[in-house]
Amino acid sequence: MSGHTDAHAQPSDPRPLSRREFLTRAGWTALGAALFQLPGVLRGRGWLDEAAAQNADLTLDTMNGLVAFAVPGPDVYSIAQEQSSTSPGGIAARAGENMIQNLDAFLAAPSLGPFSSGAVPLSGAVANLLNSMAASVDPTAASGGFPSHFSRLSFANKVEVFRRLEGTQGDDDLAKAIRYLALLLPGFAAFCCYNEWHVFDEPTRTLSGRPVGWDISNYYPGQTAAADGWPELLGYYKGRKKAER
Amino acid sequence: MRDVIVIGAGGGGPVVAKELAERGLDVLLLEAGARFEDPESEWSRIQNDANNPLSGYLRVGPADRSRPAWARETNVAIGQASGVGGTTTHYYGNSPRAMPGAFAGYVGPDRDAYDRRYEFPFSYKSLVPYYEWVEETLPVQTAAMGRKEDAFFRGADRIGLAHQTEKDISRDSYRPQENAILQPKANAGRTSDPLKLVFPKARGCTFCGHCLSGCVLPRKAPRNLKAKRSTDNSYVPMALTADGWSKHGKPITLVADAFVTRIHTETIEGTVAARAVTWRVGATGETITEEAKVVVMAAGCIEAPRLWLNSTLPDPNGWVGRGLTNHYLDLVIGQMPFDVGGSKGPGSAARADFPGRGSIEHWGGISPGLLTTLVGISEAGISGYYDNGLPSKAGADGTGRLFGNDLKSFFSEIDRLMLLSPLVDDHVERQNFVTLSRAFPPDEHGPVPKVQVLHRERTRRTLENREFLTEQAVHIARAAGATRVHRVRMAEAIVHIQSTMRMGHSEDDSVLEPSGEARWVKRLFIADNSALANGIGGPNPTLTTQALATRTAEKILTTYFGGDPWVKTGCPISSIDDRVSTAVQQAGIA
Repeated sequence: MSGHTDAHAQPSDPRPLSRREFLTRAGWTALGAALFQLPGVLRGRGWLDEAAAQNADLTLDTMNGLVAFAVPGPDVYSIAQEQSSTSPGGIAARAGENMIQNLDAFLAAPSLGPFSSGAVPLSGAVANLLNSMAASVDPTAASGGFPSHFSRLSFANKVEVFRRLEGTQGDDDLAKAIRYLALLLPGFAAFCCYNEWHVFDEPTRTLSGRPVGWDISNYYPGQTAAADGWPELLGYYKGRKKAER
Repeated sequence: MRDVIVIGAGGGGPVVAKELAERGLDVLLLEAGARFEDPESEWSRIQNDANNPLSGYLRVGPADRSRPAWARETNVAIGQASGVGGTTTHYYGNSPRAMPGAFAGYVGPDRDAYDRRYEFPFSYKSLVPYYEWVEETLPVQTAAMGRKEDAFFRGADRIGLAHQTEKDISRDSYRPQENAILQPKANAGRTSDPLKLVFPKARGCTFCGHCLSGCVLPRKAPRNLKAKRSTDNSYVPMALTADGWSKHGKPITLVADAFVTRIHTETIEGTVAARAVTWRVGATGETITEEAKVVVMAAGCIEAPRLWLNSTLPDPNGWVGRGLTNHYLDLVIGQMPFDVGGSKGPGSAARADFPGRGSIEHWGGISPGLLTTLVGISEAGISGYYDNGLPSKAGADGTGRLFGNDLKSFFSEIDRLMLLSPLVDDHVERQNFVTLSRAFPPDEHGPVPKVQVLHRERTRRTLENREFLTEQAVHIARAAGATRVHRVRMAEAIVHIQSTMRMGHSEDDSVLEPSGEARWVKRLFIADNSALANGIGGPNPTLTTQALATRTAEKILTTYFGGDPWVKTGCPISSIDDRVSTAVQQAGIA
């Protein structure tokens, strides 16, 4: 049993941690911290492409390769991976940019001063991870001539990247973090491909046009707003409007 | 000093607040997230704006959307919402009662099929009056059907399931949902013309297909007459206007953007009791402390144990945060050869139940972004390439995640999809838990929560239940006419989070007394999903949490305020009663 607690005592203020302290404390348990440290760790494992430092253009190029993998279109990334489509895909939805925005907001860290947004920017580290694994899957991949090694892979080899990431061995926290990332990343890429972010006008909270994802799923044909209702009512099953007690 | 401070305005807290305010107590209701005062203008109901877990208006995060969502260390994808209404803002209103076998005293022939070790510490029969009270208050109504439900019923009937017509679950069966949704009247469900869908030309559910994004329809309806009975549309408006419709009522004080960081206790003659709470105002950073005679925790299954531990409250048996159940969800998708209106109508209006196994929720009313995200969260690899050693399709044509042109092809006609989610009767396991993170830095509210679910390491019965239910879902989809059926085999995604501060028989493995009061801190109660003793056998948990919260409110009034019990002798006032509507409009609640 706990002893008496002063009713007006305040919880102790968390002491702001330096970025270094944060990374040290996080060890490999925290996904975000693990990702942030990945370049160094992966170098040790022989996975790191030294050129894949945190570079904004490279990050976007990598995310473009990812969203083309999730939802191909007629774009150069899809053509390069040898799986394209005549209908628009993630590139047309600017899903790569949306991925970066979301990844950079993924890990809240308000006590960490260096990050003015209040979150740890993760997109560059995620790009590093994908490019490092891509280099191990197909070291000579050159399709499309993209800066990102991942984006130069064939579709089948992009699958192989995720198979290896998901299959990362070990019960250590880094292995768990990588498996967690591999689990969530493609699905979140699909979300970015199918959502309305690229046509959303924030001040008016309306859409400036039809989202790509709505067209390719035939969602709300012809509409550019959330519906207020549909003439879907058929009645009550077997005419029963109330349950028996 | 307040009579009662309730922490959290989600599914359970407002129930306690309304019941006690109706009986004249001075209640302060604190909500960490946004107030949502005018959702008709605040909520676009579009997928990314609403449901992006990092930035959407229903995310778990501060009222100020320019700031990041609250951090959690986890290995799972968590489906929760914050703000007034909590997770009920995006729930489907499904309000089935629990499986009777999840309770003490159950003597059915399938008795041993349930999680007997962690059963509820009282009988199902004793909870029924509280179910009935909540069902009248919300109210809960039998769901009407559209084309997607018509297809489901056809499939369920064809595989030989019985049609259930009662509230209580007693056999393998299917039925329309009992939903906390006002059913369609006038133009509702009969048109897509927005000019004809304004209250009172339309009343009840308009079949808009946006349950997940918060319910604002019919437009211009008083807040308490919006179709979905999320607590922001039902219990909270009642609590705020309790003096307007109850003879002895006293309106609550509701404060949003108020994150509780500590519960304070005092020790009198060797007994520890709750005394006050401190919260932080999100907009200013100011901290405020108020005293109360009774404190009710209702911040949800993740934040309740976090707050307990951050307040350094006692945990002598180590069960605070332990025993998380989550219905071990899976997802089966049938591709139909005809349009079933899959993206339209209420989120879920049909179900099947299998006592001792769990339930199958038929659902839809979802946008392509959210649906394809769920399909991307699989433990069985990428369909057609690798399966992570999990080849079982449970009779489906494929399993795992869909990507590339497979994804585009499968989702090219969203209104032709039938979605079925097995809700497994998963057993309480100590290894699934919420605690404080030692890896993440504390945020402005103290150490952040860590959530761990060992997804595949379940009891044999839990694993068998999931396979059984998934096979049944595949059968239903095929019998309904699906030409291709896909099993996602979902990975670590938790939506129905329960039992992290469980009540129980034994002081060795529970946090709460059977009354809902904390074992080691008097005058402290818990009234959210975390208080549930187990996964209630598989059905959606909100109604049971609300029935339990009503029971807890009664215990509070009778134990600490000298009041009389009311549920077995009284008659509830519905949240859509004309007296409530008048009071809500007079109070200017949008």
